[in-house]
Parts: sequence; C-alpha cells; structure tokens
Amino acid sequence: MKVKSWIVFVLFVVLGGVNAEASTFIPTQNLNLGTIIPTATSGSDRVDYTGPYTLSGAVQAPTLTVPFNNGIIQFKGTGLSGLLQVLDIDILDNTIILTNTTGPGTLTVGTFTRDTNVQVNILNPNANVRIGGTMTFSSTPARGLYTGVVNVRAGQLLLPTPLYAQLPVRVQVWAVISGNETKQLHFGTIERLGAAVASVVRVEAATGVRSIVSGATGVNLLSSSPAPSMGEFAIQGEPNSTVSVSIPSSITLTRAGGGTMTVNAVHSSPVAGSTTLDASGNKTLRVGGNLNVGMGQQRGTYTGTYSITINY
Amino acid sequence: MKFTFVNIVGFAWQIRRFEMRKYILCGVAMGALVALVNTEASAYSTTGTANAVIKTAISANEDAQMHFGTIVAEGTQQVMTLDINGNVTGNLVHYSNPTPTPGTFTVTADPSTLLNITVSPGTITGSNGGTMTVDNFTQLTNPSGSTTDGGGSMNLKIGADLTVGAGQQGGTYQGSYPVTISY
Repeated sequence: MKVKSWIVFVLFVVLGGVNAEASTFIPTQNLNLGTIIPTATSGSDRVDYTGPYTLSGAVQAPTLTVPFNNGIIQFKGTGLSGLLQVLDIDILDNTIILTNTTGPGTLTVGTFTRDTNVQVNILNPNANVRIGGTMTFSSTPARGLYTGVVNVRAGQLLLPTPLYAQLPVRVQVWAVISGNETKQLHFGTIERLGAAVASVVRVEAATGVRSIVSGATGVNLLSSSPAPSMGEFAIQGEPNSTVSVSIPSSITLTRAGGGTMTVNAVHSSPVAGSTTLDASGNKTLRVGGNLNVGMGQQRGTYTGTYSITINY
Repeated sequence: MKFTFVNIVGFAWQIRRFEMRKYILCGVAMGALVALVNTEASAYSTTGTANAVIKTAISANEDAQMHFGTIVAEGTQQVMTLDINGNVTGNLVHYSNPTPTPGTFTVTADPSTLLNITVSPGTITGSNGGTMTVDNFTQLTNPSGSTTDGGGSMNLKIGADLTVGAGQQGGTYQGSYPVTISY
C-alpha cells in the first residue's frame, strides 16, 4: 500500500497534472482608483498593478476615507504538480465603462496592467494576481461614485479549463471647490467728524451690523447709500465634506488720488478653519472686520481686495 | 455717487508632493521596489472686495442773522412773511430800517452732495417782555434738501413767517432757531 502510494505520487509529479475543478480564481481586493477632484477638462488617474498611483490633470482629496489601491484576484490551485509553473493571465477587456451610481455620466478605464510571472506549484498552489488600470477623461466628470468590472481569465494555457473572474473597479469623483463672492464687504458711509481722535468702525461678519468700537466722537455712521454689509461668499464643493477656509489677517483699502485705511480683526462666520459643507455641498462664508479711520482721513471712496482660500 | 468695482477671481493650486520609498527583500534575489505616492491637495482661492466711503464733516457758518426790520403792531394779530430775498409782505406797516435780511449760512460738506436741511420753529423774546413765534421757514432751494457745489460749499438762505400779536408790545425781539444739516 505504502509503496503504491509513493509510485502514484511520483508519477503525478513527473507527468504533471492539475485538478482544475477544485481551483478557484476570486477577487479579494477591488481595483480602487481612489477619490479624485477633476481640475481640468482632461486628465487621468492611474493605479499600477503594484499599487502606486499617478494623477494627471486631476487632484486627490487628501481627507480620503477610501484610498487608492490595486486590484487583487486570488488563485487557489488544487492538484498542481511539483514543478514550478507559470499561471497565464489574460485581461479580456481593452477598456471598460464605469457608470456613475450617484449621478449622470460614465468614465472609461483601460490600459490594464497585471503581474506577468505568477508561479505556482504543489507546494505553493496559491497566488495573488495584481491588476492595475488607468481612468482617463476628456471632459470634466460629474461628481459621484463610478463602478464597473473588468473580466480576467487565468490558466488558458496551464489549466484544462480556464478560470474567469470579474474584478470590480471603482473611482470616486468629488465636486470641484468654488467660492464666488456674492456680497462685497462694505463699511458703508462714514462722516469723518472734526474731533482729533482716530476711530474704529466694525462690521460684524455674522450679522453685517456696523458699530463704533472706539473713537465715537471722531465719526458719524451715516445710513445713506452705500450701506454697510458683510462680505459674503457662496462656497460649493462635495456634499458633507470638510473644507478648511483661510482668510487674511488684514485688508488695505486705498483711495483714488491717495490715502489708505486698514481693516484688521478680519473674521468670518463660520470661523476660519475647518467647516463642513451641507448635504447639497453648499456653505455661506461671511466676512467682517474693523476699519481704522484716521484723524485726518480724507473724504472719498476706499477700495481693496482680499483673498480667501478653501481646501479640501 | 457711482462706484465701479472690478472683481478678479483667480485660481491658485497648492501642490504638495511627497515620496515614500519601500524596500522589499525577495528571497534569493534582492530586489528593490519603489512605490511613488503622489498626493496633491486641492485648493481654491477667490478674491473679495472691501469698501468704505468717508465723507467730510459738515460745518456751517451764519453769515447774516434773519431780520424782519421794523413793524408797527396793530389791534389784530397779523402774520408778516420774510422771503429768502429779504422782501417782507403782510398786512402791517413795515419799515426797512434795519434792512430785512433772510438768515444766511455758508455750509461746507462733500462736493455735489445732497444735504438734508431741517429748520425748527423758534421763539423770539422782546426787550420789554412778550414773545413772537417764527415758523413756516422757506429755504433757498428744495425744501427737503440742497446740493453742494463742486467745491463742497453751499449758500443757504432761510426766510420765515413772523406772527405779530394784537397790540404786540414795542421793543427789540431776539431769539434763535435751530438749523440741522445732515447727509
């Protein structure tokens, strides 16, 4: 009995042979092209089969909950011979279409890459086959989660019957951030009185209410046009995402023909820093500050610009 | 006033890049695999405009006091009217000595700017006792306001009605009336 077993085993090893029925080829990790923010009308997002990714014309969101990663299909061989053999892999699709599951549009993924020398034998019957791919777009895609599958075949040459797998492919597209000014910050019309004091006039960001902080005898707040207003920006971006907002520490206003005034204590509502966009991806940012009116401040219209920066 | 504002909206992208190197040792043959991680943060920059308008402090000097001249009181109450050109009309004997004059002011403010002018009734008191009321003021221009010239100056002339009572006591009457000028 014992001798017979050995003979069978040796024959098996020498002649080779695979029990295809028991072998499997099943995805264990989706090909994840990550989360991108398109910043141009064309671009690409490539994940190599070894894992690293490269972006072109598109930007990754840094606060990712789902990272970029390659796809993995696990081959579990049964009845392999003792000889080291190469498991042949074929990606059956040149390109695939990912459909947006949360909005309109599709994306194309192609230029698939894979492991080329997957070796298996009776002692090491299992192998991970790694898959990469490249998503390209030629017009800015709508935000949303895009999914699809790529068909992969294993063992066309090695196995009596090849194995097929459908590897899920995904890419998340975030909305581009924008922030348009909807109201200009205005300290309104102020009468510079004769008193020899410097005055500070404040516009409160949240309410737009104007008040005299100091030097009340130096200025008279007029209700005539132009009226005071807080600055207002309509920020748009990915729904429910967290963005960080930065505002300047001061703004310089200049007068045609000469003369300046400084706005300090620049503040915003919500306060600068992290803030969360609503379910529609909107947030209203309001800006206020303290205007410093000098003792000999010349009459006229003073105007200045300031920048706000919004980051994912 | 007209203002023209120019908004410039620009994009500025901050690009961060860092590299991570991984070394993987493989059995007999030692191979090095370099994994390049390319992280680019998304930033959006936009420009806002801030404004303020400063106006000159309003000042006014009285150049001439309002004067109705000399009036002879009658047995019934009468109203004498002093117009902005210094003419006096009414059903009373009147002498132009001293010369009747409207109240005259030089107002300084922002150029070519409409000012609100309000004049409140006043009472003048006689040297021998007794009072008379001054009201129904008239102004040089539009009753609700006047516009300064290109130099920010404006001449304001004010006329009024004087109510002379029946048998109003003789004497010199004097008093004040408040003039308020605002933007």
